[in-house]
Amino acid sequence: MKIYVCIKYVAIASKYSEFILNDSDVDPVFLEHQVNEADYAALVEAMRLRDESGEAEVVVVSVGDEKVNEGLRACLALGADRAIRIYSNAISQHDPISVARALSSIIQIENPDIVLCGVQSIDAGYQSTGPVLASSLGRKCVSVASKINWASKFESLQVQRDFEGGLMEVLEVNLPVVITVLPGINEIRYPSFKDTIRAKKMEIKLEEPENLVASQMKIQRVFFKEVSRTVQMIESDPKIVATKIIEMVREAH
Amino acid sequence: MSTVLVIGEIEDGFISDFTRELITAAIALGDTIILGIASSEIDFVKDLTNITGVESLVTISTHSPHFDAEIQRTATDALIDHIQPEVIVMPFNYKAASFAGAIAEKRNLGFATDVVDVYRDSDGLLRIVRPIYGSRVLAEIGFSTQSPVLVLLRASKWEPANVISGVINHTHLEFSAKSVDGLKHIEFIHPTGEIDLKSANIIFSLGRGVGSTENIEKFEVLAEKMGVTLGASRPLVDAGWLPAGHQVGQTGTTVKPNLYVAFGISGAIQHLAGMSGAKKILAINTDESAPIFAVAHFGATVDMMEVAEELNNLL
Repeated sequence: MKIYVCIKYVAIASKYSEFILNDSDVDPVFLEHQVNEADYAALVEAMRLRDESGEAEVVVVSVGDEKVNEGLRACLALGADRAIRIYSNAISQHDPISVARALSSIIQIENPDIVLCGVQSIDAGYQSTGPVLASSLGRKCVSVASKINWASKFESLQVQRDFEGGLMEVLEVNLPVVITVLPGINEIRYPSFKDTIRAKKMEIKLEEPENLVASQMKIQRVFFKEVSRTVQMIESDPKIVATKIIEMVREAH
Repeated sequence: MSTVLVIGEIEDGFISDFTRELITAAIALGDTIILGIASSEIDFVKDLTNITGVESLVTISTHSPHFDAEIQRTATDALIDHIQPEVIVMPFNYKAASFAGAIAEKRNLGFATDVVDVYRDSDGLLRIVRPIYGSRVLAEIGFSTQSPVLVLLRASKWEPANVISGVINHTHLEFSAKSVDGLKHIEFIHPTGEIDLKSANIIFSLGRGVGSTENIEKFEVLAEKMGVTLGASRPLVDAGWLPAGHQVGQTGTTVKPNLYVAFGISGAIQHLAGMSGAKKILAINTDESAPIFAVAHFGATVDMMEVAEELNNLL
């Protein structure tokens, strides 16, 4: 059995970011990278499902340039069995359809039983890579999972999914399936120093899919979000703060 | 002539406020606005009111007792087929995001979610604005496609279009639902805790900074005394410290109170999405770099339990 986990090595612009070429993009020097937290949670779920089934293999896959290898290594250190990086200059990182199609072109080769993705990335927050990937693979998709467990004989999963308003649904789904996972579904784990060293030596396979359709999306310009609200700070004295709260509560009632 | 299809939703038996926000946004994008609703509840909506700017309403009954992403996708697809719009506008929430991308992928549409602004430029081309690289930077994005564009808009960015008198021009499409093989709905779990966050006037919301269940009790006493409603961030609910009914945020309740006091909440994007529409926000957090301060009107870097102590003394 194979479980694939889609990993995004997210890029967060620092407060001091500068822009390049007529504000066409953020200067990459100002981007800080990390493994997306929901994807990391998905990986930990995948490893648990693997260990419970006793015979599955967990493969992490990510789209991007060489920088992404750092994120994939962190996943290998945590316990993924294999890693694949997908690269093509036809892929736009800002377009979830472009990214999901690239993922699909490689994931379909091994046809894994389970594909897990984070619900959303903390840098772009589309909530769409999983659903689009499922569509592209021709698979069913369960979104926004807050619990995943084997249902019976490792042929189906019981999934609890969340909706807005605190409503949740429990459903049972047969494999193969794509599931998107909420951060907070499990405890965050960190790799040991020894595992980090071990992962340094592991291979990351490079896949360069051809004939990908070019993205239809084009960034015209980037700009800073206007801070329409400038926070007015109150003196850091509990008594003054408490007085202010009482005053504001009176006004609001 | 360009046609905009707004995919609306039914909430508690009425066309939702969010749907009316989408209509306001749509009016700037085309001259014919069609409201399309695919819902299992559509037969039970008694009051399909007329809304400013809407040419007509097209409905589909999904006949599904549960939310099923695949049924919702095919029903929405049927609406698009029937209307043949240039622009499709949908709400950005978990339900819509679970199938919208699949429609865009299959139909090869231009696509974006979490859109905070949408307009036509001086050449009449559709432009959207959404965050990239986290929450600090926004991008203006265009589409090279000749095919339609599907956008999911963020809540509370547009004023809801007005409900007006008169009968809405209404067409009902026949639709036979086909659920997915190998997917079994077992049960719905409704949020526990009988509180009404949605219509609360004042909310004291607690985050991880509260530290212990004993401290939560102190806030429960304070909330009772001051006549305010107690909210919470997701980690607190996940830890089982407060029932899910208290949760503010994207998987919890979206709130718009007159006053929102955030105690020890750092401000994850999912939380900010659920409360940044509050009229007044006061954030209390010992970490001065907490993202909550970016949406707050007032802030204080002080220990929340010391503030609780002082509130108790003053009351």
